[in-house]
Amino acid sequence: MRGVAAGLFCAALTGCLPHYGPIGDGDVGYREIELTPRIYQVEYLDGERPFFVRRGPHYEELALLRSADLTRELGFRFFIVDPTALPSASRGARQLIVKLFRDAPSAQGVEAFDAEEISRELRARYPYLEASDR
Amino acid sequence: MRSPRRILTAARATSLALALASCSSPATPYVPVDISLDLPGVGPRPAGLEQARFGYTEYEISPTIVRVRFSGNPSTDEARAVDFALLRSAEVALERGYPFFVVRDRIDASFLRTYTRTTPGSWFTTCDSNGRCTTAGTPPTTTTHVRRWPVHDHLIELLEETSGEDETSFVLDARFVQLALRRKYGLLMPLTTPERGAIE
Repeated sequence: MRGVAAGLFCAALTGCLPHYGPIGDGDVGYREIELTPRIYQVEYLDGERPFFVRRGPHYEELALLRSADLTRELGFRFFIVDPTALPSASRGARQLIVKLFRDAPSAQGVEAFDAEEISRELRARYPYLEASDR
Repeated sequence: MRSPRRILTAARATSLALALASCSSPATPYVPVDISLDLPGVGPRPAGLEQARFGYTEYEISPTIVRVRFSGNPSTDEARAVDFALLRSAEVALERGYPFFVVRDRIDASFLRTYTRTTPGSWFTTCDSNGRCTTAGTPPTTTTHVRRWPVHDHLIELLEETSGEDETSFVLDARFVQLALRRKYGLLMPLTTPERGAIE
């Protein structure tokens, strides 16, 4: 109920674009933990906002964006996503396990994401993310 | 003297509070299933699930292949159940003397269950000084809801070293994973992890 009320309030004021930043109050945002050197668990939680006020990037995209940003922050260029990790059944939550690389991995059949490209593409698609970086 | 309306409101509030309390048992803790059966606060098993077991368990498929399962209750967050399956995987590796492991497959074995609850109606009759009586109250109601029981399996392979693995393989350092996930959930580290051979 509190989520619905908050959703209606923010829909009236801002259009409810999802928060892109570290998790704070309200369980909205991203967090990551290092599971092993170069392997990270990246989570994005979208809180309890009801679906009818959701706008902007999907939480899947924001988890991918955080993975790209983390890759760059740590001085790497590419990342791959653990294909066995299941999509979360939780509403508005996505957990990825990613491995970071300085050079594109050469193994066949593995999709490596270029962190700079992902970051640039998603920020171009959702310009408000630029503001949240400042 | 309390008015009938006030009594009615209090009765409604009480029944709502009881209904909510019965829905919200604590999330399943990180414990083996046999211990979770006796933990206070886990709450009574719902009808049809008296034999359900909460917590972690593992099944050895071969000396280096183990299926690890974490079973939660409906109050257990999905990500928490997945994390606890991963944490147990790391601790199984350490207990068996392997510093590394890789998750070969993850299986979501969660299930849904439908619950029906009937709330009995309550009626009050009040009469004034002229002998006129009025009856007020609520009729019986039946509510149905579906709840998800998270169950996550990890099929893990235990490794002594990482050299045989492809560079894109997600080989995990068991000690590292144990520290990271125990810190994430505020769990104390176990006092000792048996060395390899000690438990055989």
